[in-house]
Amino acid sequence: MPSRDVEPEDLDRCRAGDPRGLEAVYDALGDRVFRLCRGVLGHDADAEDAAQEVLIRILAKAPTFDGRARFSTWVHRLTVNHALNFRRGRERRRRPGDGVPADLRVDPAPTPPEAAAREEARGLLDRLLAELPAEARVVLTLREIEGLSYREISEALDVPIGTVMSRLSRARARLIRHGAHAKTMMESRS
Amino acid sequence: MNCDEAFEKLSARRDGVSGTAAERKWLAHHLAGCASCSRDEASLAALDDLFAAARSRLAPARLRVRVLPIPAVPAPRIIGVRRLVAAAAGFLAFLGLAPLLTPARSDPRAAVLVELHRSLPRLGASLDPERQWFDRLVARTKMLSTGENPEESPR
Repeated sequence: MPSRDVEPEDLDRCRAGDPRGLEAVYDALGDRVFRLCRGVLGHDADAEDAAQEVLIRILAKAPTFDGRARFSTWVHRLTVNHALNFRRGRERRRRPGDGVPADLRVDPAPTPPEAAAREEARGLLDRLLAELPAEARVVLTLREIEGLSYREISEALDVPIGTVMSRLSRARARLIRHGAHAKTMMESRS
Repeated sequence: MNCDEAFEKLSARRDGVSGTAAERKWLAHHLAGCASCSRDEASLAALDDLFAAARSRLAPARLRVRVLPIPAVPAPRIIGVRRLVAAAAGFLAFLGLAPLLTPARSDPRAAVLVELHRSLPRLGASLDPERQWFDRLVARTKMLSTGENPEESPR
């Protein structure tokens, strides 16, 4: 999935206070910011809250963006940092025994087969990602879901490309191990 | 090299980084003889299906409402309201002034004025027109002042 940057003219509109510029920036970033937050937080409502805060900050600061880095790089960095802070705050607030967030459970409501399969895949991925540390979730989300290149990820996380590669490798290995473990558990139950 | 290194190379290959020819040859050789790494290779390929559903996830529509400023509803044009008020006031003023501008037919004084107006063209046709007309006008005015109706009295 190619990462789409915000058009320069839309940024110019933002700087001029044109509401159409804000809408265009939202259209370019809204889904991506939400998915990033969702990948880090693993929870729809939390992701929506975090994405709202990030997007409001982005739209407020977009007019003063100095252009030293790519706009998308700045957005990814801001989003990841905010989502990680949100996650830390949530973990401090969460009481022991709260368990898995409600939207990580399989929705029992009947859905069309295609949508049901998609939801099942999302649910499985959510459960697997929930077992990973935040660092692994971030790098997997940026690469596997958002399709960022090594360079883009290294700029967003401010780490060398070699670190990105090793983090990705470790994250994938853990994901596969958890997946194999989950599969074994399911087969042993049935 | 060992299985950990093999997995790193498989992971990099998944991202399009295939390494040198020597590395590719080593990896192929390792996979041919390592069942565990071969399973990992298949598992890495299966990640596409796992992440595909997450890639299509969209932000809920209400997020847009929560983020973007509510577009300002254009206020009614003040000048339009003023014009409307001015037109209404003018119409009411016209209605109020109309009785004053239009003489009522039932008012006897109005009848005198109307007759006066009709009499003016005949002024020059009479021998003593000015005097007759003036006497008649005085008589009628006297009748009005005493409350009599000049229209009912004989001429």
